[in-house]
Amino acid sequence: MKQLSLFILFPVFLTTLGEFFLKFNLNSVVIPFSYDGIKIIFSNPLILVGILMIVLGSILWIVAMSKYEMSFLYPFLSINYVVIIIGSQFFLNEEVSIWRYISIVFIIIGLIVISRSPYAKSDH
Amino acid sequence: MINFMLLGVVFARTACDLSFKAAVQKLHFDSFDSIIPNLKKIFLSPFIYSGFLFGGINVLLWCFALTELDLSYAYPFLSISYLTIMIAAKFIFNEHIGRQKIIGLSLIALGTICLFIG
Repeated sequence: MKQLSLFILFPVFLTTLGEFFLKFNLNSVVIPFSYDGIKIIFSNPLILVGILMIVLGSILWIVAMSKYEMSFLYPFLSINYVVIIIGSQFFLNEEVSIWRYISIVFIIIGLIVISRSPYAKSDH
Repeated sequence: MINFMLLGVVFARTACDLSFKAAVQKLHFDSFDSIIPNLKKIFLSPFIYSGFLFGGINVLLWCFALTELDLSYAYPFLSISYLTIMIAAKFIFNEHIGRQKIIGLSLIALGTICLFIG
């Protein structure tokens, strides 16, 4: 259980937390789609912290991919979607329609079906 | 415009994944001793650098997309990149897509369509 928490649950936690942090801080600034916008993004320390958390989470997930089989890992990816959709309703005060919940149900079932496919081992 | 940003994220993510896959493709991590020579081979491959480039574009476009879009809309939308990655991997790396994967990917695509409905 400890290994599971470290290699799998921690990256999931870090990635989702990073996404919430990033979105929260992007909500409070105006960013034009131009070079000025890029400068604003990279000069804002809170935004950079969010990006860093997401990148670290991705790296740790890649480490998990080298340790576990994809067929084992894919269902854990589902936790990401559940946490993000519920969290964005409570932490970010977004209007989450029923269709968004329905969409992640399909996505999660799709991930589980893929994880059970016989060739999942030879992926990545 | 903002949806092009989101599509750009999907494209960049796909290109990044495929680049890294191409970079590590011809390696053999047989034993602990093989790590350093393999690392050298990785950084000689041009694909590791294109991977980082696309990764950077991915992060940038994601930030732009999130300035206007809800996280609960944009993040599930990214799951369509599983579809694009597996299709591209079939054509570029000749990876086999079994029937179950096709069903799973169709479900993910269906989920993405639901995002547009609501």
